[in-house]
Amino acid sequence: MSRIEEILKEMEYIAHHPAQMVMKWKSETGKKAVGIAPIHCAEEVVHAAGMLPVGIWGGQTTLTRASEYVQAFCCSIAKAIMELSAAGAYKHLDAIVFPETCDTLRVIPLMMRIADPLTPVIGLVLPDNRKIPAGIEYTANEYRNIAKRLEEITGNMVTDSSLHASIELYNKHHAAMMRFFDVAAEHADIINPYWRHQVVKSSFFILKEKHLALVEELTSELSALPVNKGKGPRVVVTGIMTEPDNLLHLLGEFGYTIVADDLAQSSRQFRTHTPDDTDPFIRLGKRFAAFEGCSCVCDPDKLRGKILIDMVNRQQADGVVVLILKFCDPEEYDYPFIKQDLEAAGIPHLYLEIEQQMDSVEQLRTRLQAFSEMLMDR
Amino acid sequence: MTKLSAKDAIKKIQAEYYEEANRAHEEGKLVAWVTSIAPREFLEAMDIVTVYPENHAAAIAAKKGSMEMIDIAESMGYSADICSYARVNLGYVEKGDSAAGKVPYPDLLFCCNNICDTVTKWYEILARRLNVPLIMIDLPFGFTPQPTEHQLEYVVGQFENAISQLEAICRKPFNYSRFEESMHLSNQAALLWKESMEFGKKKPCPFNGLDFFNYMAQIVCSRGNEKAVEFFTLLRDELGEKVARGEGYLAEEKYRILWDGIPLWYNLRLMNNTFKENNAVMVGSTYPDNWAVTYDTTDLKSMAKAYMGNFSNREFTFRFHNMLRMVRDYSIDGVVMHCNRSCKNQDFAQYALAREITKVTGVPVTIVDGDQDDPRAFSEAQYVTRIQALFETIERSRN
Amino acid sequence: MLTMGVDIGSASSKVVILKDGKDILAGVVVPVGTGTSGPTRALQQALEMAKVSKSDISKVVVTGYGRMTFKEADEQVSEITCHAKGVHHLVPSARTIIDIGGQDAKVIKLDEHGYVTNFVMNEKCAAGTGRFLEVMARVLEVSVSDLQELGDQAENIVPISSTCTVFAESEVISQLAAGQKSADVVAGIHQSVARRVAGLAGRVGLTPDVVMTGGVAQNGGVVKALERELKVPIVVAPKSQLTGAIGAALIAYEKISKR
Repeated sequence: MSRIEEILKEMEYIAHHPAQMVMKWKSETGKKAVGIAPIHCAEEVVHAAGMLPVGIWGGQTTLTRASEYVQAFCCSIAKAIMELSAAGAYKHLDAIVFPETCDTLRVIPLMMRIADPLTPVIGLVLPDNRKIPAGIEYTANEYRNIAKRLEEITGNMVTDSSLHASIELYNKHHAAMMRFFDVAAEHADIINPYWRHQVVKSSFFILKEKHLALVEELTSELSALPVNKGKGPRVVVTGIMTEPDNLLHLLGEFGYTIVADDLAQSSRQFRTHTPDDTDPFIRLGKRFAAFEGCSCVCDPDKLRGKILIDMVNRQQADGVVVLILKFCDPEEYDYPFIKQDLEAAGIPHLYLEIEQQMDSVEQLRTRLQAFSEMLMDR
Repeated sequence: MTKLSAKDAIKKIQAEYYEEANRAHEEGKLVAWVTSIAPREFLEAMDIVTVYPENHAAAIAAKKGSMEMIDIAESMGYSADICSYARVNLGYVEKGDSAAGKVPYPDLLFCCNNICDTVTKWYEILARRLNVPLIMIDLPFGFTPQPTEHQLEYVVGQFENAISQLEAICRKPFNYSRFEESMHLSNQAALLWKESMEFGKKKPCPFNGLDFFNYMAQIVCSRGNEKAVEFFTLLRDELGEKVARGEGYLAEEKYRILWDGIPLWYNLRLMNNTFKENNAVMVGSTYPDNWAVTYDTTDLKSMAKAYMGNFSNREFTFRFHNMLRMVRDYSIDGVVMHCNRSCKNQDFAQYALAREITKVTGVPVTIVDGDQDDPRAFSEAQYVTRIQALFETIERSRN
Repeated sequence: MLTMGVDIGSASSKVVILKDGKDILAGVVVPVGTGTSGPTRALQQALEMAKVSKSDISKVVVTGYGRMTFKEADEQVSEITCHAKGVHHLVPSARTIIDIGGQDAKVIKLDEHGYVTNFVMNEKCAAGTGRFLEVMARVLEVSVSDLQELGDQAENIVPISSTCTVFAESEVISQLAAGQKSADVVAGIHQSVARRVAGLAGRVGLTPDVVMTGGVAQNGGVVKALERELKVPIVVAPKSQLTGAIGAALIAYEKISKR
């Protein structure tokens, strides 16, 4: 096996075994682990307290207990989180930080406190008015509050210097991820949508410094190989996530190459650099103020369409695949203007409704195939 | 001089309200579209006419015109999954007229998200579609039982920012004296509203709780000016007199019901009849209490806290105690929860809430599926069956 | 040069043999679909009709729901692309296709060469498809093919507002129980299907000529209701069931000619 294959296989394993990664961390280091729920939460705070931040993104679970808490029209990620919580899957976490992301995800942590009362759930409420001085100050204070609550629960402290150090590390990591995405776009023969996702997903279950080393090595190995832009359509994907696995395999089957993404689970985590300031919590406030283009972050200028168009142009992509997570209100609200902006720019797009747990992707098959035929016929 | 009954007065006042709103531009006033529990005192201070898309959407549904608007919005690509108030309003924006008449297009938007995150998305869309400024009042969701100091500071910071925004838009200084007046009037109206609602604790209940969903329009639209004080004084006095005479809405009060959530605006007749025919009276609802917003008018932090306090902005323990208090104080026999397809913020806590309420009080809870404005999500047969089953359960527990 | 197009649906198998990308030598429909002997039988019948053997066929393209498991084809192409090509062959002025099948509904935009420029499919459920009409026909105790004639006798439209097939079924029952005439209820059912489809069509926009294909296109009542909702004239494609197979055969021809 080449070094590239080794790294990808390692990442695939990490991505598919989050619980194991947490147990391994705890037993090897004796340190604690804190869950980070979707979408926007500066996990640097957890890292700075010497704990492992663990991404909570739902999962491939059969939904049996969730319906005791939430109705059917709840998005599949939220349902899966509810299911896992009710099943006690989060008991090995010392705490969970849960951002107030949308109407659905604000109620889920309230239900989790009932379903699993022994796992403390700390709410994080980031501002809509994030750019005004009061907003930046508020974000900083919310994170100070998180640090304080974590200290109360775990005994672990955050200092200014440890937080600065974590922020610097995360800035490096995020830059490395964005660079990887560019290099991956030039090596479509090796990095297909499935493998691209393993690189992303594995970042949520191990220390960032470990993941950074793997990503840098992978990127360097790929760069040494000849450029291969793939045989099929080169697309930008947008939405919450590209799970489940069978969706990724389907994309690969029709030769799709993801040249860039605007996914909540991917580039929205990595694409904003944290600016400088003497106060590390203010730095987090400034980053949240600088971030643009998520359906769950207040954006009166509706910049997402423009951001997608820029991504398409930068990579000379053939089109955009819009992955609407079923029952995701924020994404559903954004879609008509994204559609309008893409159409005005002459960029073809495919609207695909997905769920995190999909036993059958047959309906998606026809659409993805037809779209690829449409793009390649142009 | 014969005084109007509250039921007749509200119709008259609301008609006048809409007429005035439609004259606003003619009279050189600015129009703002506002969310239902926003601190309209700021707008009252600047003599801005406030229009409520949620209220308009409810009226459209009551006049059976919501599907027309919904069809327009859905053909634009808006999913049937999103809030039906938003779909009706976004459809109205394109059509410009409705079964409940017109409202003037806004010069600015004033969005306060204490009711849900949906309004943020909805108003972002309106800002772009109508190309008007958006004033955002972000009232952080309460994961903790009480708001934190830094949350209150953030809100006050936004209040101050909103004042600057208003000054820029209106091109005149903020009228602090009218603002103060408005705050007083707002508190007055809120207290009268609360007093009126609390007559529901009496046996017999002097009112049909469903009427409060109509009276509500004034606490939403005019809280902070003289009109609301006038109307709610009338209402309070009328109900007070009925209580003094021992007059109940029903001759025989068999079931005292608590309604949780927004009503089915397109079928109020069914709601009315199903209760009345079974000698059931809605004595209270969790919904109207959201507007009993009272605060210390000399302290903006107190105002911030009050506007953050409605139950949809709160964590589960508050929601539970809020309902528990009502079940006890209003002598409730049964609870009907509206699983409103449009309102995930409320719905996803309902199952747990229903279990806890019944566990602690022994009072049965039934959940009915429906939607506030979209009649497609509602089945009349299912509604009647579930309500009757609730009455039967109450009967059984009495024997 | 002979090419063959095979369209394997859930309920039927269609085969077309095309000569030089122009002349249809054979067009066969067998009323059973994927997982049955349908595809093989349709293929045999088509060869017999054209009086040729399999080895005379230069290229076979398969499409439709059952395309993944059909072994006799050289290539498989989506039914969206094939339909567009096929309709374009039959109605060269077509720029929008509304296809309502048994299980789904699609709206396809195409350019002057028959290439797909945009498309949308119904995500939700049976409402607005042939299945919806089957369920309603059963309630009315008529066959689906009777619906058009029944609807023609309507004096009024009894609206059926539920979008969910299950709710709509009970709504139809209530209306009939309340004494409404079957004909008027059928008119309401047709309008309901038309509304759903119109909503779908709105997402990609309508460019004339608008052509309708699929089994439901045979129901003139639905077509008229759709014309009323969309406010455009609708052309029902001739040989409506074969458009997918024709398109597949055309694509087979184009792919060979390119070489």
